[in-house]
Amino acid sequence: MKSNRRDIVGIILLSALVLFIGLYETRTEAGFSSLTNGIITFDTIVRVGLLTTVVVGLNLLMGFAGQISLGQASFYGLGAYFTGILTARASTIGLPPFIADGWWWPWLLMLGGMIVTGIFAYFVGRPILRLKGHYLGLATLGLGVVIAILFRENFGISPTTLSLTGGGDGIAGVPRLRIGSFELWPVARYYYLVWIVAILGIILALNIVNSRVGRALRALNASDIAAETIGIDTSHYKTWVFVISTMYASLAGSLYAHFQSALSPPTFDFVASLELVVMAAVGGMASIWGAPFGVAVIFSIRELLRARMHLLLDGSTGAYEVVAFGLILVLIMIFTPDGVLKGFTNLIAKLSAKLRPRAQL
Amino acid sequence: MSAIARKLTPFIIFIALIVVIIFLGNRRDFGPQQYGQFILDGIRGGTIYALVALGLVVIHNVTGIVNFAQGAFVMLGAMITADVYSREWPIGDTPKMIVAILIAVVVTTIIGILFERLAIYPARNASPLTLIIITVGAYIVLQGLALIYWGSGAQRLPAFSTLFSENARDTIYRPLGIVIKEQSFWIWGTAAIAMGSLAWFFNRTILGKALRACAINPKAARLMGISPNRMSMLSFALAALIGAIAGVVLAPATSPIYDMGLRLGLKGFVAAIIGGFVSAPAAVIGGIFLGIIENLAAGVTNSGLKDIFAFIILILVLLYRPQGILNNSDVTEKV
Amino acid sequence: MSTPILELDTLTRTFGGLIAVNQVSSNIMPDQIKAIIGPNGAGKTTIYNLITGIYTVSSGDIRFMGQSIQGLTPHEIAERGITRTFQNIKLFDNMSVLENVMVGQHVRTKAGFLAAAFRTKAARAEEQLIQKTAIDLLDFVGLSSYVDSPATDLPFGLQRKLEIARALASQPKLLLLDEPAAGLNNTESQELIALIKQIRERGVTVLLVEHDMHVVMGLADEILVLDYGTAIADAAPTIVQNDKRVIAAYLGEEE
Repeated sequence: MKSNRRDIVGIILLSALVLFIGLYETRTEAGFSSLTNGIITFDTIVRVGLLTTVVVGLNLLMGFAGQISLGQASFYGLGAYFTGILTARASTIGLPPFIADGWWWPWLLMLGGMIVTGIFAYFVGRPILRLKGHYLGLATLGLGVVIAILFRENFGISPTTLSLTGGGDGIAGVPRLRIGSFELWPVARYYYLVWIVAILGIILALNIVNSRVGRALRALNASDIAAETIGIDTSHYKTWVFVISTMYASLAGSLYAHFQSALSPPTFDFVASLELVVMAAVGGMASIWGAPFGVAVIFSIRELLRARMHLLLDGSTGAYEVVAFGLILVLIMIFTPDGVLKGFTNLIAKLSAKLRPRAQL
Repeated sequence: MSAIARKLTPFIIFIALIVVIIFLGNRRDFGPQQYGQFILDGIRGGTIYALVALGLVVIHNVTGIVNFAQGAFVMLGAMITADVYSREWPIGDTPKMIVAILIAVVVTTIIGILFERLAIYPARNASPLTLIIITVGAYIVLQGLALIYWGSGAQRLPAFSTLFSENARDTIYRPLGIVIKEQSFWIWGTAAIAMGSLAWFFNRTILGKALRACAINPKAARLMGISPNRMSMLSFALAALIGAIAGVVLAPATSPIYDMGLRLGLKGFVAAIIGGFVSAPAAVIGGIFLGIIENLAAGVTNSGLKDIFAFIILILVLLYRPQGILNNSDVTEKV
Repeated sequence: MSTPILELDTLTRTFGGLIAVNQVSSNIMPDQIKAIIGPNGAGKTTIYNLITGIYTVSSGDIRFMGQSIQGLTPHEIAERGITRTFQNIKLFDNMSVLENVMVGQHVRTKAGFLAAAFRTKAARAEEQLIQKTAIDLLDFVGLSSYVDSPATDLPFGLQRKLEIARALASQPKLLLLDEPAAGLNNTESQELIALIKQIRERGVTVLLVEHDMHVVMGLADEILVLDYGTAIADAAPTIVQNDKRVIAAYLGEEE
């Protein structure tokens, strides 16, 4: 199939880019950020990788199953706190050191976090997704806020009794990941793990999209009723896509915990969930490739604004960037509602059509 | 779940909630007075949610759009009133308040219209998701502009009653030992008038009926000479108006601040869903119900958890009583 | 074989005060081509929606191959062997012609999420088979030259054919066609008639809602006539043609 070839090329290009950036960072004096005059740092690229994984999952849900999640950041948080609590707070909850200190433990937690999050998502998603319309969006909105508040309020438990999430202060001291005695740190090393996961996530998602399952998803997105009468169990597929998207988010969350080494509630609140949706939409949800694209675009705009705004408006505070960000967002959605990637490829298609000699009549 | 179980479940949950609340309350030795206080404060907060929900329902019913920027209209109403009032002008306090209110309402309504013309109308054929994101973007812009213009500090506005009485204090009533500040009556009175006016407008005037027609069947409405384009603009103007009014009466009761719109918008949204996105009176009931439960629950547990309850209710409603959500626009396909 | 493949048993559907389908009873025998006709608003599409599980039954029953299918979800009914086309064509506009027919086979194939994600041998083999079957079906309906075109690129008459191909892809035993001749010219109608006959030869029973009487007369073994939700005739075409009530329903009362 045509799309397969394009996808393979995409994977190769992305891998090459990731390799290039990684090598540039370690092999040169100035490091990667010098390529962009310090606007985009290596740190940022790692974060782009983490959120790419989340948004790929979100893209499957929004672009292919046609459902919105307005609480995806809370599933990111579930993975992060699952890892964080069971490592940094291991002693508080009475985990014996031979488990808590094992190099394999955090890896197991990453997997465990995914499974727990997935199970949770299944039981919430199944009843909601039997309903028609955008009820999942609303339910995830509510769920996201509830979970974020629970993080902030230590699940309602008094901190003196049992400090799990650390309340508003969060958790510090999440250990770095190791394989045996080989530590996946400093950043230049961890970077590769993050991006390997992201690229694998993209590959799996692409495989799903280009399969019988992918066609079923696209069908129910195009016409729920027609899909049902063809024999597609739409609520089954919607539920499982939702579950898978939360598992992607959870995995990325665990990776984030080991990266940041500290967790705090605002990272996983409603605003963060909105940002994720924006990244997916801006990138373009009709294709999995929209995800890394959208994440990169949003990060770039933000970093660019942060770096340059003070040149435009003297004495500006963060508020100006926020307004500019909002304006850019609105403009993007008005002019390229199918996402920047689609807008970009459309533009290229138009240009190349103009350049091609006219066909004989 | 069998049909009977499904119908009974909301009642069972409701009763269970009451039981839990009373149980937790008794552990803190709450008496009827405390409960009464919680309920009353809840009704006050709930009225604001109801007003926000009304604005959401108006826009949604006419255009099918969920306006995530609704909270910003409330914020603007409150902030502009406080701003204008705080200036030194050579007129008496009461006229100044009236002018401040008028300016706030008019400016906010104009902003609502501009928002519709500049951001919604150009994208009117886009997918619902795109439109939602646009309203989110608009909210970000409006909140950011508020932050730039007014900074991050809280504003202040005196209670309306102080303008009419000698002492500069908001009168406090204490029926049965429950504290009611006079501003609450302003809130309730204004809300009642607003809702009554809306009801009259939608049911008795041609323009209002035209708006409703648009919601039910835009194509037929167009054939009748009603312009969905103009109706869209009108619905946003109306929603901005309602939001501004809510902000105005709320301002003296809670110090207006640039980010107050987010939480209000979200909770108004939950209220609209509880009540049923299509029906305005139900949205009002939803708002008040939400305010009461939220306040009761926060009172007997931990006030830091207050915001959670709105969303727990949301989830429960979605799981068990989605028919409270009589959302015609979700049936997107005709067979 | 004298067991009907489909039985409508005093089937009734009300919407509030409106009785859309009023105690309709009728049978369809296997390998038959049966037409449902009637003035607009007579309840024909509603019956389709009832059969395919899109609407729930208010009272009465629907039996497919002897078993009640009332209360089943549409996809369960498709699995049993009933598929349909729609009056205002519901193709999947985000896919190509080929993909539409490939997805039509969904209910007879089984690769799931895991198999897809990891591209197992079984999944890949199944995918090959799906593609081949789809190409064969497109050939059957005469759409071979459009295989990779976006579904929406097809002219109207061909979109109809595509929808039929998609419905056939799930190997139904009973095919419900909803006004397939609407908007077709004479040549296209003749092609349609030939196609439906070929479909019957493949062992598929066909139910046909249609306004075009040429098509109906050219195909139907039996005709069910509806008026305001009630069955007013249910017999061979020649009998129905001369039925007084049918004539009255279409033309108004006799002078």
